[in-house]
Amino acid sequence: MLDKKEIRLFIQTKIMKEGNIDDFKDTDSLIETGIIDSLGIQILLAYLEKAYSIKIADEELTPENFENIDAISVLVQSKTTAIR
Amino acid sequence: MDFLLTQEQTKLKESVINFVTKTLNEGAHERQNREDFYLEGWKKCADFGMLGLPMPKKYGGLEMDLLACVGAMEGFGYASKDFGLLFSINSQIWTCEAPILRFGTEEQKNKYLGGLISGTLIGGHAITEANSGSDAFSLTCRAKRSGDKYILNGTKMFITNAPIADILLVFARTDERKGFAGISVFIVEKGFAGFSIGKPLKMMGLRDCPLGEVILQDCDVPVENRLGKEGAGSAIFNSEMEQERSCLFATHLGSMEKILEDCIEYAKTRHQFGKPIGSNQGISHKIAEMKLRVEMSRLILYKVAWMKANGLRAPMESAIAKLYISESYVATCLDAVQIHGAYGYSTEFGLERNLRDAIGGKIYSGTSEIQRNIIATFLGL
Ligand SMILES: Cc1cc2nc3c(=O)[nH]c(=O)nc-3n(C[C@H](O)[C@H](O)[C@H](O)COP(=O)(O)OP(=O)(O)OC[C@H]3O[C@@H](n4cnc5c(N)ncnc54)[C@H](O)[C@@H]3O)c2cc1C
Repeated sequence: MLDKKEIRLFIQTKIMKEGNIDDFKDTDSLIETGIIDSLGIQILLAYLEKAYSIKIADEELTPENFENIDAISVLVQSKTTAIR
Repeated sequence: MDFLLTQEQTKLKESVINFVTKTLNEGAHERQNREDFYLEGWKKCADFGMLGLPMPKKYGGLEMDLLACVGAMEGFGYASKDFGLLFSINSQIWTCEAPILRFGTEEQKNKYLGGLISGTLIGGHAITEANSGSDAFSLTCRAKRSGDKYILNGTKMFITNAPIADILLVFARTDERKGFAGISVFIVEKGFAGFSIGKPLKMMGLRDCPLGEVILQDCDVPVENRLGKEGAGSAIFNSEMEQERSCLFATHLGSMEKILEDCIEYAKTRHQFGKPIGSNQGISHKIAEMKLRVEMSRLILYKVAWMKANGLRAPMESAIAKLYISESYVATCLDAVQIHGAYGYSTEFGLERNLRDAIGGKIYSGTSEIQRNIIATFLGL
């Protein structure tokens, strides 16, 4: 299983300007809570591609893939499984 | 590491310079004064292949990689006296054709790309509104699903090609709760009920490039005309901006190179106080600065094009390129006017027009301030 803690840590340290990621569940919307904006997605994307050696297509940058930490980890998981 | 265009890319660039010089420049000055769009020139560019430079052969394009496109656009900027036409064409390629190619269904590609590339259709994209410019994703244009169509309501501002466009990619909100992620894109045809164009807008420069307001009043758009999924608007916008910031500004580089050559020539031949003005450091150092800008712009532009051609993301790098080149272009145009004195200031020689055209580059495709914000954000600030 993918370690969601790593993604949480990245969001906390590199994307969140204020607040604590621990106050949010893996199912809470990162978009509706304003944790991630359109630039934040690009920063997260660059991190995910590098950290997990995956490629995410622009067409996959839809809300359902980045809505919350669960969705992000499913996307990453599907890519890493495909690589293996 | 290789800093040169290949032989083939250089040939393409030279053939563009030849084509533009021979067929597009005549009457450019008068067209700009009359604020006339050069439709015949548009068609000539289509016949030459300009409108489909990066597009697959399957749809009638030349299927060039981005470095070749950058080289070709550099040649276009170098030779052209008609920056309005050049800007119109680039807007269509990078903000209409490219997103349809990347995000479109096969039906959408078959329906629109051929016409856009062959010059029978003209396109653009419409995101900006009267109250949402830099903060583009705060747009208020709404798209409401109703059975097999969406109903669009809203108004768009400063839309390149709007007065002459057959299709526009319109950004509209489909989900109120999701902010930037609640925006979708629609391919809107000019014949759709409820679609109209306001009066053409008068701008400081790029005067033969038509800009206008777009009005969507209960405009019916079939579901099959949605580009990408619902909510894909920000991904589409970021993708097209990255490409535009990488390629459109190649035309500025080409123009800077030509201005540099003209200034060197003028500085050698214009005599004051019994000697060429170029023998004064006050002038020669301005020209040295121009050369510096050309070289630095080329380095960053080719790097970004190389990154894109190799499938790498370049959000920060394309912001750096856009920012540096557009600001260098304004500085170069200002220096060129100064070096030419009253002749530079006169409307006869085109140098003041270059300056007016150049200033737009600090505003469209995201302002200079927004590029600095993007760079700072990527640096963790
Ligand atoms: C020639 C031309 C062609 C265009 N073509 C199109 C087109 O085809 N389609 C389309 O949708 N739009 C188009 N536009 C619109 C263009 O995208 C906008 O003009 C641009 O995004 C800036 O928006 P604005 O003009 O509303 O300025 P504003 O966003 O109101 O900005 C005003 C000033 O405030 C600064 N500013 C704003 N926010 C910040 C911030 N957070 N930090 C620092 N400074 C800030 C800006 O940099 C600017 O200096 C075109 C514009 C021009 C000039």
